[in-house]
Amino acid sequence: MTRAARSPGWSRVLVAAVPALWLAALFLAPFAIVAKLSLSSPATAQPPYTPVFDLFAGLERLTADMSSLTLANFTTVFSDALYVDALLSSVRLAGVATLVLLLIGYPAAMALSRLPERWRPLGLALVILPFWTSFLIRIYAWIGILRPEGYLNGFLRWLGLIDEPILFLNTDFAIVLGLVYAYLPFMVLPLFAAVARLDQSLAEAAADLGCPPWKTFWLVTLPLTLPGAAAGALLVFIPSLGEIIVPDLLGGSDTLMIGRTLWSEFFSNRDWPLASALAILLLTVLLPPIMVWRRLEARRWSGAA
Amino acid sequence: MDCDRQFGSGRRPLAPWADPAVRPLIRIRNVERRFGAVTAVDNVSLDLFGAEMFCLLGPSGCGKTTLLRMLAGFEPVDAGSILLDEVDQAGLAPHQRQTNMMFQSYALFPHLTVAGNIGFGLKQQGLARPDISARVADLMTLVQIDGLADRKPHQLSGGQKQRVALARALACQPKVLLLDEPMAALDARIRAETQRELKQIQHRTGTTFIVVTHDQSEAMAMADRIGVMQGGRLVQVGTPADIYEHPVSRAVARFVGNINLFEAIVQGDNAAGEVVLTCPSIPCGLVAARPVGPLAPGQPVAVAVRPERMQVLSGRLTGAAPNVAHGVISAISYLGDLTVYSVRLADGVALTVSAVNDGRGTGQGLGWDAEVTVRFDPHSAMVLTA
Repeated sequence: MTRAARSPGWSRVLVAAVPALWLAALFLAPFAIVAKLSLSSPATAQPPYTPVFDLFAGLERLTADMSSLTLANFTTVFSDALYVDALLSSVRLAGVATLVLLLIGYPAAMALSRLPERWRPLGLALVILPFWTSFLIRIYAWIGILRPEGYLNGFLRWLGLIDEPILFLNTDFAIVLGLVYAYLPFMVLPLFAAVARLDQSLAEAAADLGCPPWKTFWLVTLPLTLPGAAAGALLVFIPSLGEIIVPDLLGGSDTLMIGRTLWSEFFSNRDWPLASALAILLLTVLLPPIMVWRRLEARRWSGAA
Repeated sequence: MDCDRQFGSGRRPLAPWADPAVRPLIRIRNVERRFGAVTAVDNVSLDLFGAEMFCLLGPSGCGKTTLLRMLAGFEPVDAGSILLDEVDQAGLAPHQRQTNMMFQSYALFPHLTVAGNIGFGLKQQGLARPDISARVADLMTLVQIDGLADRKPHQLSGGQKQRVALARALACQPKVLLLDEPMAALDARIRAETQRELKQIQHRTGTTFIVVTHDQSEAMAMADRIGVMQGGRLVQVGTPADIYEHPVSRAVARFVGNINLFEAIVQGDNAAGEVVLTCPSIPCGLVAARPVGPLAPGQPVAVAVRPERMQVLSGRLTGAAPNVAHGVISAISYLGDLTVYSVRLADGVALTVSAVNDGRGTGQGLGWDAEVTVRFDPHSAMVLTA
């Protein structure tokens, strides 16, 4: 009897504690470390930065270490055009990829939602199927398609459309293509959820009241599935912005993307503090769209459907 | 009244379907719709007239909604043709048709206000903004929802939603308004009132209404004519009185109103020109009014009698007479205006007999298990061959 009365309270604490600990250990703690690193200075040592906090070295040492923290890395990031350019170029490429994904994602999601009931699971499985192969291998395969002697140029030449191979690989086009290919499921699935939930009779009512199909989409389907589109856009924009593999494999050597710059600062230059400052900057850029999305979500839940 | 000026309020011709000179507004000719092996609408032909209130009545799954959706353009026509004002509707998309539909779920756009919903179709027609708002205001007055213009659908009651849906469907002045179970989502309490209002609005606007319903009392209350559908076929078309008094089959008789059916065998005619039949439930046989079609002696038929056309009398009536049966009261429902008796005959057949309580204290003399005699006039008995 007492056990039965007590156990719900304990289990509730336990249920809340597991994700809380998970977040603290795997998100908050690393974030604190990165934040501290971004305020440190690079050093030719192991680890490659100073100061290294030692909690057992006494309070005096700790205050000295604290005062040696510096904003110099952020000054560097903003004064050197390379980093700001990399960030802007990332925003541009990820933005274009997100737009293209919306343009492909809507027809795909609507087609999926119109499949007969028994074919729908198969259609959804096909959307997810690429995940069963390594991301790296799938992007690598695009090199074979896009390179000057690759399948795409061979096909175009076979059609007689071109004489000289077109330079696809190592261009922004290749990066956007890679991003669109890699993140398509993340756009299609939330859009599908939104479109499938939409009452089909709303589209019929619009048609009945004089809307041709494109206008029905514009006046009814689009506004009512906007939360799904926003979710999909965030799900593809955020990882696209920090993407490393796609620009590394498909982009040229002069391609500027913040994820790649960050990577080379960490591993090529071993400048951990500067790389951490870039990571913090990237996070700040991502905050506004996330907040906009959360406000959209909140409004959707408060206004009953 | 503004709407009267707009739509005209002439007296409706009494029965355009009876006048061969009147051109039908809609001609439905041998229309079919199949879903795989199932024929949802099976060889339906029907003429509909201007300013008519027509109810498609049938049990769920009988094809009535499919037929309505074919008229709106949401379902293709697999065979046959639909003509509206002599124009073949084949190949016309819903947005190109001069029909509008009121959906069973109402299908109000949740992101638009009441005014936005009602004006939606007018906007598509490219009307100027002031014209739209004037017309929306008129329509809101017509369906009595003044003052709700800025509400969103989720802020409305079920009855208000229904009115918005009606106003939205009427906004573009369709030649035909299609209503799919318009009362289904309403409380039983406000249904009767809403039926009356719908009929008034239909009369004022002069629009042809085609109403799909499974509720026979709703169809009887509203329709100028009723089309009864069963199993994808249109089995009978007629005025409510036609359907009630002259059902073409046992199935129609059972579906519209309450009915007592006796399985009987035709014997022949009597001197008065009535049909004489034998029936195991009734010792001295049946005498019924002659139906339109031919009857052969020995033909098995059903004789149908409405509960209110039967009389229930206390005790056993002595003396042999046709159309008289003896039984025991097995249940009594006192409904205030009526008392409904369930009578079990000697051979187990159950009858329903209703008596009007036209004076205080009437209808209270009979008790459960009382022995009674049930009788009816020959002209109240309908012979059904199908």
